[in-house]
Amino acid sequence: MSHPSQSSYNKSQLTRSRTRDAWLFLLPTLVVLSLVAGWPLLRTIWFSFTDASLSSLEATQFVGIDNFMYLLDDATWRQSFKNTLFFAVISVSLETVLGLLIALVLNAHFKGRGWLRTAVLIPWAIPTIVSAKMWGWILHDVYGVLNEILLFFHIIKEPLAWAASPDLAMASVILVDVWKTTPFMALLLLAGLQLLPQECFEAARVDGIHPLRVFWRVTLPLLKPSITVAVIFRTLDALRVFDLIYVLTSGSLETISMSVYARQQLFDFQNVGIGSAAATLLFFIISLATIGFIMAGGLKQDGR
Amino acid sequence: MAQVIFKNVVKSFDKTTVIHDINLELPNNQFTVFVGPSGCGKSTLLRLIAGLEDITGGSLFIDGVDVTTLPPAKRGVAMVFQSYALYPHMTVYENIAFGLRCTKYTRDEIDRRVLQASEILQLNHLLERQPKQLSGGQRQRVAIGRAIVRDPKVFLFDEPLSNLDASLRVKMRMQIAKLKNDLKTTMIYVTHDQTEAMTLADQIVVLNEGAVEQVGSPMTLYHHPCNKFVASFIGSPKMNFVEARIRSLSQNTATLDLPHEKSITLPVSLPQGLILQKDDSVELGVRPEHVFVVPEDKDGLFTGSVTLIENLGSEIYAYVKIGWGQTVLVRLGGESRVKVGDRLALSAAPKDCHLFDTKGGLSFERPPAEQ
Amino acid sequence: MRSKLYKPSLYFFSFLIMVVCVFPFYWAIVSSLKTGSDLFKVEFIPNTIALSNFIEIFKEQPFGRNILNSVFVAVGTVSISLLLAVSAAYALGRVRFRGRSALLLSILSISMFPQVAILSGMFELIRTLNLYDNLLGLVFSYMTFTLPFTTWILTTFMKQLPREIEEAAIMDGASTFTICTKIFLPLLWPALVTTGLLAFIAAWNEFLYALTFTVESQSRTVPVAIALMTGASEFELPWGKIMAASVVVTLPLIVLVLIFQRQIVSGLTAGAVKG
Repeated sequence: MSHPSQSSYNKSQLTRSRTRDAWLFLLPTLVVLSLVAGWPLLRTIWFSFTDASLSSLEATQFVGIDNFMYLLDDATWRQSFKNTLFFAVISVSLETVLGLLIALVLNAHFKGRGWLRTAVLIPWAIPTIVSAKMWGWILHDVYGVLNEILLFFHIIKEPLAWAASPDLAMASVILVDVWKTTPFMALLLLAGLQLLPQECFEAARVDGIHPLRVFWRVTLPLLKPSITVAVIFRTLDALRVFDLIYVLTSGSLETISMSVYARQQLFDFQNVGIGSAAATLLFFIISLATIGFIMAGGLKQDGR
Repeated sequence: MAQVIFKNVVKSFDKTTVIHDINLELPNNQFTVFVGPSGCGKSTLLRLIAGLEDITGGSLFIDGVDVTTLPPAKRGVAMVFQSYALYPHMTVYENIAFGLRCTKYTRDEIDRRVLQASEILQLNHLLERQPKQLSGGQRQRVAIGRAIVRDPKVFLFDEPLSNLDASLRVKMRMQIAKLKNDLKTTMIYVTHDQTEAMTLADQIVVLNEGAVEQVGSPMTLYHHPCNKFVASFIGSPKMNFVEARIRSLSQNTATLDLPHEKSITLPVSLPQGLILQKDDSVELGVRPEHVFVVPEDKDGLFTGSVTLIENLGSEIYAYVKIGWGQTVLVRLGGESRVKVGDRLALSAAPKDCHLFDTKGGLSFERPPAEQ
Repeated sequence: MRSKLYKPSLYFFSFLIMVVCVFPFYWAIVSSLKTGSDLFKVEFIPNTIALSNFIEIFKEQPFGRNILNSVFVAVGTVSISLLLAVSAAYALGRVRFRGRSALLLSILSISMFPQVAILSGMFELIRTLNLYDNLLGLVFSYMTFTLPFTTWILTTFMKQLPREIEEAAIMDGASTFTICTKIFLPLLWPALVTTGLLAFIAAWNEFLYALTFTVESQSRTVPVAIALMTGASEFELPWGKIMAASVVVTLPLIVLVLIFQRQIVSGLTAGAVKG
């Protein structure tokens, strides 16, 4: 045998010292992450099997899956589950379509493109709380400017209550989320567009293919990886929505999300057990979604 | 100042073995060139000497010391990288001094050494510049300077000229040749360019698919390639290979049938384990510069019509179709008036002809006397 | 070849996008400059400019203090997480070792998981550490999202640095620490600015932890202060002041974003497209 056996393979001092240093350099981050993320997560999961309440976290008793049974029975929890899914699906779909449109416009060559790109960054830069408040004011049922504009153009006959009305509350939340997050989507997709090989489009143009056909047959298929990644990130983000709903509609029943529900149970009702159970469920739903996405081959995870 | 010895060295990445059981001695104070097609493992071999890659099996000795697992900085080697790898945020001076600062020399000693190296490489006026303000050739010199100051036992060069344009490459080649004479150190140089190999090397190591094909001086490889791979890799343009059949064999010679009822008799010596028989197919190799035109058809080895002419000014290359579906390339003087379609009779001296086994490519040539 | 409507419709769409993006913030500025009953009239250009809203948020409310709190928390969070992330990113981006991909993946998933999932555990931890209603508690809890995120982005940038530069340093005998501080850190400056900026914005905008782990209005950060701002009566929100506060905290952000546009976009895409 000309090949030495694997056991005789001695790693050089360089490799060994580099590996050792790598772990040394990673150690602080790993310690901090397990302290601020790992440990609290485990505690939350533990609380979800207890009757813990905010005033007496120490004197808690194990209650098995009672909290989860309670959630299954609770109409508000079921509503929050439906709301969250509805919100995530609709807003991410709208953001993807609009984001793609904006990305295409930003990718075209025309005067003032730089200004447009700058303008698009503004909604992204505004804190969610601020944008919720700003839109709360724009959507105000009595003094809101949106009602004034729509009345002026005769699109509506009388002022709408938007965020305050049961019918339009969820639509308002989605509207504000789309306004705030579409730019982010557009920028990601724009980056994807700019990575596409320019030759394909030039060839299509030389061949005289209709631009719409080019879009469906060339741009969209080539852009699919970027779209997939952007949609995954946004979906995982939308599933944990909290700030916007908490501020814009104060977590009304029509818009309550799973995150809002969990916090309500934890701190408004002081039911740490039930709140933790809700949080744990949300955590597992998002994990399942992530795993599903990875299985679908959306995320490339190799470390190279 | 040091000898480098490979003993049964094997290198694998995951499951693929890229260096197969190499045994090699790179002599003291000699300029050795590793040459071979891309992917042959020449750069990996260099990186094994540098210590940048782990050796999977076997041992490596530098200056008599087993350095198989020693970290790069403790091996007494310095390396010039293909991309120069200058530190972009440091001045030329800091770039050259960085290695010395890492090894805790005194400030005066560092200063003395940097100035000495920049003297050799004519970098004195550039010491305060940043790499981005330098030309390609100047960056290359800084990279060499960074290696020189450390006063290494072995210099390693990883395709150092491949990023330069053609004219600068010739100039830098001369500079490296001068450096070789000035420093008189063991130097190991990797290239895929056989002109660099031929002009710089004391000893060439031809590599192919992770194994050594032949080791020898440039002239040995040129005149006595041990197999078809080396024969075709060394020399430009490539050696011609013509199919031939054994007509008769005697003690030390073989007579071959060539197309158009021509024949040639060559001295042969069979490598161990190879048996030649009448009517066996072999390959006759002859370099374009060793083929010449003869006036009479009957005096030639090959005859045929010209299919293509390449005129380089000082010389002309003609492609001649010689029968059995084969073409021979011949070098003619710049004054030649040959045209496409002309019939040419060609010949070559038996001493310039090489004979190879059709299957394994091994040379049937008598081994040259040891030099 | 292209239809005659191409350019006009392109400009029309651009104009529309621009108006939709900018108008809400413009409206906030306009509203913040109105007082009294002017606020309830729809005027796109204010007749009179009143600064009383801006003066009042600093006088009647501890809004100045809230801004300082936010700056302290954001700067603290960014500095600590950059410090930790650079060293972690070196290991993850430059060294091949067993378990690296798994580690990278778990770090990415930590940045994805819902903040509310660790809320009760974090609440207990912060009370145990005596950091409740304390800005340090916020810095501590913000590590959950800034640290994985900065580590991930810096790892992407770290991987892009040329391998030969590191090898040259190894040949020169530099230790891992020297390579990090003397070679990589100077080369990573632009990436550090980008990453730091993104982390700063994330920390500046954070709401859930800030809402949960502070009580006194003195220790609130800006988003909580704005969300919980109340007026004279419980049922009437002081819209003028809320808009003024919104403008005050958003303007610096927008200026930052305008200055660092390029870096921000490159950071966002490094974090996501290559994911």
